[in-house]
Amino acid sequence: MLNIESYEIGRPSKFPEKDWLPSPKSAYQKYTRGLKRRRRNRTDIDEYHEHTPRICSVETIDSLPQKFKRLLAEWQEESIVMSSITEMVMLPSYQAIIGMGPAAVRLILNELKHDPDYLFWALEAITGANPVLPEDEGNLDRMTKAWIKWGQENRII
Amino acid sequence: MHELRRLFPGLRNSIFKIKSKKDKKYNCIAFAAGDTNNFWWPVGRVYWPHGVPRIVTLDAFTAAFETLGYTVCENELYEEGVVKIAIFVKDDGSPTHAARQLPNGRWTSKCGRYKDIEHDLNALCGPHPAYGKIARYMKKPA
Repeated sequence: MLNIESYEIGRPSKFPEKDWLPSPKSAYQKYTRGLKRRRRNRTDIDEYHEHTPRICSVETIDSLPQKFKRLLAEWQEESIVMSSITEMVMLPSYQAIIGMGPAAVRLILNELKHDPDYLFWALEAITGANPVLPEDEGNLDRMTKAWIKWGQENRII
Repeated sequence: MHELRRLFPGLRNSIFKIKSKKDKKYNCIAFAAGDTNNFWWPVGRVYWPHGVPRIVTLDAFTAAFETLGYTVCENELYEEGVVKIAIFVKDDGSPTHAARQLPNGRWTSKCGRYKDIEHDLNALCGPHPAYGKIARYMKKPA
């Protein structure tokens, strides 16, 4: 425990008391000088920070399943008449699903169980795995089965 | 139907019929090729005929249909005893879509992972999200 008395006694002599412990008045002056300086140097960024809430409201933050469902619905709507798998997976909504990382794997696998779709590119991008046999590539049912089996073997679902 | 008219303005002023439910198993290339079990595309882990270059070019798509007996032809005009396909491309020349001619002379397409439709050939042309322009016709005996 700090002994205040000995601390006071043991304070280095090179710090005279008025510098070591500034008076309330000088501290206030220093603070107001800083404020004035900052006001002189104000930028648009300062204005932005001043008027922008620091914390997002709770309503705008999705839970992971909600976020996944939202992105999936966006992707399915945007890509529905596309035939190019490369264009489909490059859509921002699909890339955002990949960006969810490992947390998305279980959600994707559960989605495949109920409504298979071409989410295999995302699974491979996130996990680095590819359980689909070359002869099954392009067959939605077989690709889905291979990934669900992989998920069960790895105890993800 | 309303959705398709929004995406393909060419369908607004022409007669088209929806011929199937939504089915994600196959796409337009597969459907033009007569395969409703696989998704065809040269890139990605989907089906593409063995030995055909896996690049998104008109020549690669032509080669894919050649494996089924199609040969390049001049036009879309109906010929008795012949099946024709049309390959659509974007402005940069990369394929986007394929349609197949029906025995009644009209054309049929699978719209991505959506539905099969019967339509006028040029009704699916136009800027994105429509399929661009027709760059090649191919035919084979029916």
